[in-house]
Amino acid sequence: MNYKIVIALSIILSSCLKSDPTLNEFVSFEPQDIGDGHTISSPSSESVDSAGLVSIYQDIYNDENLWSIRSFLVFRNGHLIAENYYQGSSFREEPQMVWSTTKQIVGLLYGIALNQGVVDSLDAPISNYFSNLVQNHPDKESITIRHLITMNSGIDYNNDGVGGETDQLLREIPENMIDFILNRPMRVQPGVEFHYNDGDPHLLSGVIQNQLGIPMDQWADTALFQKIGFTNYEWDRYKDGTTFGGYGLITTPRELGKIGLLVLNNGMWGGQQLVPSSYISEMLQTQMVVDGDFNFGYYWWLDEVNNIQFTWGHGGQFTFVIPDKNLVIVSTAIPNTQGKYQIQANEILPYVLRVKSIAN
Amino acid sequence: MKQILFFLTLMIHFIAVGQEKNKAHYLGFDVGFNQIKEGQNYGVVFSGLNVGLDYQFEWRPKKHLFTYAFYTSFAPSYGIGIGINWRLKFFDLNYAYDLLKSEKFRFYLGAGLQSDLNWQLYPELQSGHMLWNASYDFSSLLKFDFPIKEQKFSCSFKFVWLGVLSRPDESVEVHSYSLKFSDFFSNAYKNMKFSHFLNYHKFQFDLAWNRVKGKNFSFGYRFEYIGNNEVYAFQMIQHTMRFNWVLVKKKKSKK
Repeated sequence: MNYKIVIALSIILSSCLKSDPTLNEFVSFEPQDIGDGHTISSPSSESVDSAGLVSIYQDIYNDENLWSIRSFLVFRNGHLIAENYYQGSSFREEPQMVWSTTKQIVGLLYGIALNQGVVDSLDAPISNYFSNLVQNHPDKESITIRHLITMNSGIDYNNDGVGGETDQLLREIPENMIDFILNRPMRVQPGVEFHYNDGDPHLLSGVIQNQLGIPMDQWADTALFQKIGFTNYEWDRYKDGTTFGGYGLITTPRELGKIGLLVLNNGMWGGQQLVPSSYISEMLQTQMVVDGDFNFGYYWWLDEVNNIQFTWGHGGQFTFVIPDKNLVIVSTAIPNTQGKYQIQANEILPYVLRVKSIAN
Repeated sequence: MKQILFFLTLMIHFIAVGQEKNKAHYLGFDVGFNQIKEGQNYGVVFSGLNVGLDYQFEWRPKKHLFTYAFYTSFAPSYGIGIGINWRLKFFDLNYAYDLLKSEKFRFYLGAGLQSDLNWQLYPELQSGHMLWNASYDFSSLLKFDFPIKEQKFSCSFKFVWLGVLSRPDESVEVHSYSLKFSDFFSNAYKNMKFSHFLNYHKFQFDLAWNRVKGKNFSFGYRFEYIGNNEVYAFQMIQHTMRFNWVLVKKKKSKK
């Protein structure tokens, strides 16, 4: 009887499927000129140890925690010096969801909105921009733009879980996104508690739309994106026509590099001051002390120990700005992973620090 | 919904006519091993348990064989995180003809038409996005009934030649479905494309010990393979042990 069991098990085991490797073996980080506005250089020309960089790219490939990584790009002195797309070169130009990295771009856009007078000041109450807010939502009367841009509006909005507010918006259940958020109860008074959520930046999108009469993405395209050659992107809107502020941007790592370079250059691009440098400076200062390894500026994450500022999107979408070494590093990953299957900042940060250490 | 009502009606009809001679109804369950490799899920293989339920109607007038089957199964599996596959075969209709002039042995040759929906959820890799492989298939059928020591055995082989196939759009990342029950079907039957055995590979092998020791119970093994050659390929393997009971069976009376 035993031999029959062995035969049966052999048949079953011999007809098993095998997983494809999720990453392509690392071969080269030599960047390509695809005419997207980036200037190409080499590590040695920009005083970066080339052999050390090879070792970093190889180690990323070998790191099991980074099984979902799609790209790792290094910019030095404004030039792209290394890029690799671990899941195929198509991701060089194929846009993907960058999720909450959208928030940091909204943070940047508010510097322009302030400069252009679209909003009066960060301390202006949002009741100035949402009609009937005082009558309909008196509990939200004292919320200011600053509360929204630092995630402490006090609105009870939850990103996580089935049935959470983000889940309801992704499933397009509410008719109107802004009303849906403003109808949420308050969890605490404004300004009391940092609470990371998508609702606050969605409201900031609503503020700009109410002021200008056009969706925020449409304004952003002329106010910023066209000026820096940020063209390979889409920005989703809710079904009511409001641009998502907490997520919704679909773009490429090379385009994210332009955002990083703009911030690295204190808002200056091609000789033009697109975002006031004073605002960039405020944006990258600790506005909220957060439990954990990183603090929070105007939506930007801050590693104050290493003087690194970065964007952080769900799944593992990062743009690191390292002013000490005139470096920008972009890393993206599969966007829809959850929980421990996402790349966390402290899993990719050691590689960023290694690049920093070999940049002379 | 119309499809569901249609096939429920069809099933009730079969049960009603099943009271006639040479007709039998079987109800069964199966347990087995399931593997899915979904290209749109990064080619990661998810393996796990498969638990299924099936109903089958069989009619054998003289040398003809007609069968209808309904099958559904649920397969929780593990690869990178958890995966779930829900399988639904609304209908599996077959006709075959016995080519042998033998009382003991029967060798049927025929053809069949099946619907087959494999709907998947990978909450840890794909958030709320659905993936699926849904098809209507036209297959050939070979079935051999043979006795061993007074016991009845059969083996059969089905091979899909033609069909229509629905797969998710490649840009699944931007989709998030409402998770309404109707979405399971409306999304999974969008954009159906013609397929054939060169780009869509699907076969099923069955071995069964029928009416074990004269009881109204059958026991069998099934192996199934589904695969396609698309850029984002889908592959599925199922090994299942099947247990069936005869619900209604009347022997043909001799005049």
